[in-house]
Amino acid sequence: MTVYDRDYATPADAVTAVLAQFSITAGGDIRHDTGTHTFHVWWLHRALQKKVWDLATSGNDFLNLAKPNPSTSEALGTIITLLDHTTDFSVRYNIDDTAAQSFFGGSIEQQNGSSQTERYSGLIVLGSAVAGTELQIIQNAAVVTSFWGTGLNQTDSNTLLRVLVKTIVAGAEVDKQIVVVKASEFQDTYAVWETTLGLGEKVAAISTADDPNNNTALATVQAYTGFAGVGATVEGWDLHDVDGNGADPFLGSLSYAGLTGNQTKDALYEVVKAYLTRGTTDTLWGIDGDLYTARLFQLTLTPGAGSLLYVQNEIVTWTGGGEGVMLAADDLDEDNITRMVIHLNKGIAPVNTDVITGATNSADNVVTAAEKLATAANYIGVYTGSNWIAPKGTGFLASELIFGDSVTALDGQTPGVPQNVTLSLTVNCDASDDPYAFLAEKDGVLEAPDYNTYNGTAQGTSVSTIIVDAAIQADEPQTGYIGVLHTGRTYYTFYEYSSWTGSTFTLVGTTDAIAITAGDNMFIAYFYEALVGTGATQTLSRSFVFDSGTRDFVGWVRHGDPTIPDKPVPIAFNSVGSNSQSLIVQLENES
Amino acid sequence: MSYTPNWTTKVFTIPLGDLTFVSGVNYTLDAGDFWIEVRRLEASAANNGGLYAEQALEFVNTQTLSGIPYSAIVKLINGYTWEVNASNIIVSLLGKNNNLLDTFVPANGVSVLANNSAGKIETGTGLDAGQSTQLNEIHTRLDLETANPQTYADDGSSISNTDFTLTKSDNGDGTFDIDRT
Repeated sequence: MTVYDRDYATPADAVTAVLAQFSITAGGDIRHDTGTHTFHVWWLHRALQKKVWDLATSGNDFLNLAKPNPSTSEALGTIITLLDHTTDFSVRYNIDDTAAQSFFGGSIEQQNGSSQTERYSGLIVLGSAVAGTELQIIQNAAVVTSFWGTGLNQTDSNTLLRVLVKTIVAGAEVDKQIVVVKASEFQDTYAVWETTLGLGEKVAAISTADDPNNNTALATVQAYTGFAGVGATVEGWDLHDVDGNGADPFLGSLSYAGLTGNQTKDALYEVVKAYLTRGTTDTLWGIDGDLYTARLFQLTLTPGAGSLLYVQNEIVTWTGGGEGVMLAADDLDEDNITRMVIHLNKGIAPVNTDVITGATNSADNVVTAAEKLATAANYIGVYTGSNWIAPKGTGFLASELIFGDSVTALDGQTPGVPQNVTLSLTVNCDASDDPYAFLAEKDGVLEAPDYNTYNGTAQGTSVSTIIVDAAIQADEPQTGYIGVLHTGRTYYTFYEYSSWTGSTFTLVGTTDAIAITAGDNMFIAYFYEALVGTGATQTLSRSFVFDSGTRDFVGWVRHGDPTIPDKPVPIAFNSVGSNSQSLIVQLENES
Repeated sequence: MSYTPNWTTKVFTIPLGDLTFVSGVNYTLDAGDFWIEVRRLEASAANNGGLYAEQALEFVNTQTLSGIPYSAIVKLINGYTWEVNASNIIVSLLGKNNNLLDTFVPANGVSVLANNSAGKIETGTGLDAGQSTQLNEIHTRLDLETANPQTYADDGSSISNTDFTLTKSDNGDGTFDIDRT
């Protein structure tokens, strides 16, 4: 097989090869006969011109000087037009789809039997891809049947593919001549490129590489427990409080929680890629992975009248001419909806004043704006092996995010994932024990807890908040206990709090029927409670947001059962910085 | 037990009712009871519990040296003290060696008599657990448990107490069996 590019060194050989590979009827039908060579469209033009210059026909090519001009060439031989002489000569030069597979490098336009325009447009895919990559071309929400395998007409080292794609059929553009080129080979990075074809040859750019975070065999990933359930977690309009400062909207809540036995980010990443890999039948939002083109748009809608409902994953269309799938909406009721996210299947995204309509119930709304979301061929974005760098909108279960993950909400917010530090305590004891633990920040000098990190402000009795006389330190735990030495009491009273902001702790309950006097000593107990669980191993943990520096913590585990007390065990977490720490304590009977 | 701890001043106050009356103004305090109660208070997260407070008591268990079990030690530490909520009584310390005499807060005419001994050994009851149970059951069966007297059926068919019930069943041949449940 020879690839005859535009600048092939011996034109006569190229012309000869074209004529040998195709037959040409007296009526102008150019059809593939035999051979596997491929040709720049220029050589079709040159071969036809050669035949109508000859005095005699030859072989299965029934053209000679008596025939009308078969073709024209423009733009340096990249726009070839086969001419229609039906009226005067009963000759209409044309190729068919099979013949078109042998050409590249430009467009071939012709008329069909009804004098309607047809066009084969040139597509060149530049870039680099992992060896063996089979590119896909998506046109009009369907996969163009591949005849190019792992590449065709790679006329230089940066060219992956050069083919013709039929873009005008019977006078009508196929999806506005838009095509999407994809590379989605499992274990490689994915790539996608949309381009609008037309006359001549248009470019798509694809680049893939080995994905260092995707090394598991596809079949293994597909066999994960819970594999099929992950798809549902991308659906819908979900709110996530990523930074503890209020919830922001995202697309779904990707989670590895359902991947029993493989509950890791690694697994989740590979599962989502598996959904979208070439040749599988898995779907996201009901979209076959092969047809996912990563063209996501967030639409701003005007709430309408009526109460028809949009349906998750339904097809939506719009007056501007296009079709998509509804991925999420801030409200499914057309009366309340203001935002919708779609995957573009066909056409171009809606624009201002377009009316978008759901296929199921005909719910409709006027579009006022459309925002293209960042393209991520694998949907989930970049995975570093520990952190996500997700495109705008991609949502994760907030509790599975870790410090360093980067997410962007649909409202444009980029909430930072706090650097949570967790102090974990495991106590091994008799199965019948119910030990308690106490932990607080260590005094700056003494080998003892600091019992006075805050002072109270005057407050009444049985109040649900405790206000201290200074800003609460940024690295106090989000939940915990505040110990208060009420004036008039000889002991600290501990109140569990559920949150804090500024100088105010919000309590789970209320304070006792005793006032808080300004200046009352207070401090935060990280542990002041029974261990969690029953049996021979019981645990406690407390998390807080790392701020700066390091801190020391001291406390103890006690079990004062009157029947069989255990020896008190001191505990300490030393030099706690940005890394979590854990302790294991063994309780021993004292008697 | 209902000791009142003051975690700020580190004083345990023992009510008179938690001492064992002997005669006249004489009472006893078992150091083992003191240990158990303080341990309970130390580990309590209830209101006025001492979970957050510094450890109050150290306990050194019985040590067997050359085959002889020496007495355990109960020791108030970290500045904790104790007092009795009574006046003009004598409290004799019993049981385990301790430092309760040293940590007592003298007031109101209360005197404390120590019983520490360098050679004190754990004698125990001399009974193992099974023997102890059997002795208790004999005690109960003889109706010597004044707090829980036995109940006798009028027809003599049964005797019951808090621990077990004895039921008489006639064998029809001039004999009868007793079933214990």
